[in-house]
Amino acid sequence: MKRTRLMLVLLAFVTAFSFGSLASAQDNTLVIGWEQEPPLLNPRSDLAFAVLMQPFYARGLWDWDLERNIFPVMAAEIPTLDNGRVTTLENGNTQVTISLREGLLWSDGEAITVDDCLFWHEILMDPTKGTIQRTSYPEVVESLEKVDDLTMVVTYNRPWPDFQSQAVPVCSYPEHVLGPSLEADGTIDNAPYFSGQGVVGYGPYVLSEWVVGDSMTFDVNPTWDGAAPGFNRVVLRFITETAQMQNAMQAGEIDVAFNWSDDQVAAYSAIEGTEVFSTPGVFGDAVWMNLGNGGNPALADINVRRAIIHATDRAAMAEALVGPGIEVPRSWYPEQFWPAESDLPLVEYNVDGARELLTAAGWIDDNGDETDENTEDTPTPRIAQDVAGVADGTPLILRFFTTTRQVRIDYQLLIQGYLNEVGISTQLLPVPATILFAGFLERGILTTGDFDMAIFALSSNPLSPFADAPTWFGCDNIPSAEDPNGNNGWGVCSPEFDALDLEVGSTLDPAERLAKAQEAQEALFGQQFWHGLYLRPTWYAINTARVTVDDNVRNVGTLSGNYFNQIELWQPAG
Amino acid sequence: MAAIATLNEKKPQPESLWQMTLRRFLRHRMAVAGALMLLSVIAFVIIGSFFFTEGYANRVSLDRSMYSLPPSSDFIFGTDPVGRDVFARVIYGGQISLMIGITAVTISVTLGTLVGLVAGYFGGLVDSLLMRFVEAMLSIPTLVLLLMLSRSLAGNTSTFNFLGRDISITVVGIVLIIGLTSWMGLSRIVRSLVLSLKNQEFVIAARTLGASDVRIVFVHILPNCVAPIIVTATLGIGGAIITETALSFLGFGVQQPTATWGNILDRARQQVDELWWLWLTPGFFIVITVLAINFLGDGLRDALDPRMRQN
Amino acid sequence: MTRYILRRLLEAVPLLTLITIFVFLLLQVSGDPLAYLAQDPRVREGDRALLRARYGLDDPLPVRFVTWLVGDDWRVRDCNGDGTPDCPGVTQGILRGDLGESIRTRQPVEVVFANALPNTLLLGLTVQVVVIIVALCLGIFTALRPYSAVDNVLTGFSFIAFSMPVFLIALLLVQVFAIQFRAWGLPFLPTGGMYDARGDRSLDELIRHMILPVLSLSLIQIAGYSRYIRATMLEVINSDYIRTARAKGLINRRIVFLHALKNASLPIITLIALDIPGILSGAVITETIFSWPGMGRLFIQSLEQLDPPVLMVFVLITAVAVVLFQLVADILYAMLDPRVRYN
Repeated sequence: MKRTRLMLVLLAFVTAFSFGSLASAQDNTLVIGWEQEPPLLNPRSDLAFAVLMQPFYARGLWDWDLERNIFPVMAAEIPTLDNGRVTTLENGNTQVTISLREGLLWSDGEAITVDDCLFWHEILMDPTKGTIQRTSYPEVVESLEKVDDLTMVVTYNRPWPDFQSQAVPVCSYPEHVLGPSLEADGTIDNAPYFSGQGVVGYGPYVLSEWVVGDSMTFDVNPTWDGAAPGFNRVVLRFITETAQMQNAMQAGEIDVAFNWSDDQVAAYSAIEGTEVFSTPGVFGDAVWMNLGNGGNPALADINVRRAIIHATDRAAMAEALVGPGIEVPRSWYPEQFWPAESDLPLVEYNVDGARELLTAAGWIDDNGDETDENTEDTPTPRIAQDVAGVADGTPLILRFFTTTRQVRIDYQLLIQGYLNEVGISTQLLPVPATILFAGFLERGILTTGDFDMAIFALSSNPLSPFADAPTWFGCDNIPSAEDPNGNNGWGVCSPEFDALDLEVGSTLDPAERLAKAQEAQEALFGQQFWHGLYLRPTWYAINTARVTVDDNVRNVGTLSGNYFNQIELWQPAG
Repeated sequence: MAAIATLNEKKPQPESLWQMTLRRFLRHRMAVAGALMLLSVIAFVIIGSFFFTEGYANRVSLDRSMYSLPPSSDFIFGTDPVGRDVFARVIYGGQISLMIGITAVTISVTLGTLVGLVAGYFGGLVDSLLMRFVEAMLSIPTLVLLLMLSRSLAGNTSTFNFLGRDISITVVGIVLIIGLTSWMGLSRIVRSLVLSLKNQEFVIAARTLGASDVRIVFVHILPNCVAPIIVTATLGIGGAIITETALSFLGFGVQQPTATWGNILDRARQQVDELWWLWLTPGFFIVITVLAINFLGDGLRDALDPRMRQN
Repeated sequence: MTRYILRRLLEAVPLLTLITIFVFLLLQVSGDPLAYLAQDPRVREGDRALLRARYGLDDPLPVRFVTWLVGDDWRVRDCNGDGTPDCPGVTQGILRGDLGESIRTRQPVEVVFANALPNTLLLGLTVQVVVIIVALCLGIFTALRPYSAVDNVLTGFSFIAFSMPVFLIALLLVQVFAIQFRAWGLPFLPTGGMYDARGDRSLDELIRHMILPVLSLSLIQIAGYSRYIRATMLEVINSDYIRTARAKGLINRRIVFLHALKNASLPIITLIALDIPGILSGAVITETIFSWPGMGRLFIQSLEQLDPPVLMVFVLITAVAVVLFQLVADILYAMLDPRVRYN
């Protein structure tokens, strides 16, 4: 009697277990492990991950492939200077005519017209109608006019060379769904659409279910007229814990894990049946030096800044901490997006050179401990002798910040080791990203200039040089109590760059523009306040038993947000 | 006088309270094992620091062939991804972890005892105010309270010098937070003890003889509360060490470069398979230490006050 | 009885007020909920200012607290910074039944909790049931055979479980039952989540996904509970009246057992009643590891992203639960033990 009961319990347990092995292998679902759940689908700013699933259900007028070739999506034709769709008005300002493709339908069957673009234009122009990422749109767009149901004309208030990539009209949101929300609340902020209810879009998939905290399910959009999606269903599973993402991949519960940190390459590569690849990123981690916004006065001297770069073996660090074959970027603007040959020299690893530069700058090694190869327990830093603005005998100690991201902390530790060798002491201060990057009014560390060196990445736009650069590098954008809006927390100021940047922003001819951008870049980064470490690739791990890993899969987009901008091309294995 | 003294000397010494306790404690085999284990861990982290300097424990290697080495005869516990010797880091991390445990418990025991004594002895309004506050603190789950306090301290970036070592200010934050969120249970125990003690004959006698409140509380009442205080303190150290690892795991722990067992363990989380030595060693020390403390606390409870068992 | 309950509930009001003020102040010093927006140049300064004004983040501290209590629909703020008041407040405050709106998800707070609470209750109550059943069995079993080999092994085991960080237990369980079992060709369990991404959301699936989280949460609790039950039972078994019963010839094990259990049940029931409100706050670490969409994960996400409206209500819910269950425990105690009277 007793034994029978025990057996029954055991049997029940075993049955529950064995269901695990019965997961059918023949279905047509792609499961993606998603690190961060979006709080809402509103393209207001968020942690970049939040809206990476947008290309599943909402597409733009056109897009770029991995080689930055532009191709039309909703537009009938890409506007260019050659096809007459881009004209220069008498006052020198740019005007662009955009046509939508005929027969475009929202996923609920309604027709897509220029009215939808006008609807979003209205919201972009008026902040009170919704908090969204509006970029420079309201500042540079003068008007958007409807010509007919499928044609519109956008007029900029200045010469606008970035008409393809910046401040472009948006037609991705249906007026017939969002309009009523705007009418009712005066803002689209509280629209149920952004909480995942009644999401209607133009993309290969539609959002069919969002189980908050667990998963999002997308099914094929019946009205989609692009390439037929390879998978009937795409499921995003939210897994926040790093080790568990690897475990889920190993257990075959997810088919794709992406955007994991560089130190996990070996872990993912070791999983059987998994292919790991990376795409070029737009985030380059670098050491930024505070040369003019209240940092250590030693850094005001370009030779000290150069010595810091000389003292570190960046290639060795990239190889050890990121992976073999990782290149050290020469410039903030990644070379692989730079069509022209870069003339920027890479400051090489040269310890003796660094020591000489420091001595020449007035920072002397008074006890000769630097020949001991960093074996002292408490290395004594160099001290000042006749350095402008510094009392003699002041030791060279720098406050060195970064976020709590592990790779950055490892870099920070190694750089501390390298700098000890040349007699520069550093105080390591890892802080949460929100505190490092907060605005001036929120007492962010970068914006208030309360640092000497910091490791972090600032994304660049691969489609347009210096699109947002002025706020980061312009002389006018050093944040202060009077003008807290700038982001130039390192206080770099080069009138030459500012002038060139203005020209870059208004030169329409691509070749001429590139040359100027090149010149501007040299003027800026010649100042050696930026010390590139590595270009952070975007990593993917894919289960080869479920997904055919070919060029279609690798073609995941150029911009930082477009991780899956051609998801319909992904094909099941076999 | 002399006669009395001789008389006392001749009589066989009655076993003092402490001797009795010691005898009972020694009978408890697991507790003795726990005490020995704990002593060896403490000896390990202290003696170890004579062999390795802290500079060595925190020193990265600039030679790539030294990174992520598995345990070998050169590095008993291997090296981490920037070439630091895990053995040395476990020693110094252990010092910090134990220090966090001990100081946090000092805070919580002092606070808990004081609140319990004051509330129990004075009673009335003071008592109800203090006990309301204790209830309020107890009504918020400890981990929730801990994490909210840590969040409010995040971003504090300075370091301070302690015994010649630069220690991240986050250590102080963690100690304070753990200390300030774990005193409530003890204060209730002490209060109820005081309530039962304050009307007993020896206290009334002391009061009639004109002893001050302070004297009564600290000389007559406190010694009778020592048993639960010692037991709570012992077990609290283990709890604090576990809490520190949990905070590290959730990203609210002590910041590098200051090592703790918790953050060494956490470092290995992204590469569990490749860097097994990086989590196995601190993990082993955490479990062993806390286990030893729990054994010890259990034995102390039996020895000091058998009635308290498992309460 | 009714008067007693009413009095106890009234007493809770100052307690909850104290908690509210404390948590409110704590969140004020935790940072700016909109600091994250400053990182992204695509969000313009104007939008940030508008949001700050709309959420009243620039109001003085007392005003913000009053707003949280009774709402801001009685005043009009200047949102666009032109000097004239232009955006009327819309919140009603918690005292008027408006729990507020989450800053990050823009959902009403009650919706946020409605998503998380059932999942946490499902997990937490299952754990509680498993813990009680297993701990009772183990506790009674060991109490009847104190210091036997089984008792010693179980005691040692519960000490080890007690001494391990919960995340270590959870990750080890995953490694063994989800990864290694699969590699060895044995029946295996999922690593996390509530359902299979390719599954049909059946009950079987849910149960399979619950096994590991329930196991990792139960182990430590079972260790504690079974030790407690063992000690309570031993105390009763060694008490005078059971000895008398034995002396009188009532050597029937079953009767001794029933007597002991009946008397030991009192403190055990109280302990359970006091532990139940803890379920509501969820298991922060276990839910994070197993991607379980419950209260613990909601809490840690709201804390990381700093969402004060959600955090305030979270603490209030748990505090109210503690107060209520404390009351339930006291009433149960009084009902089960005739010696206790309400006073």
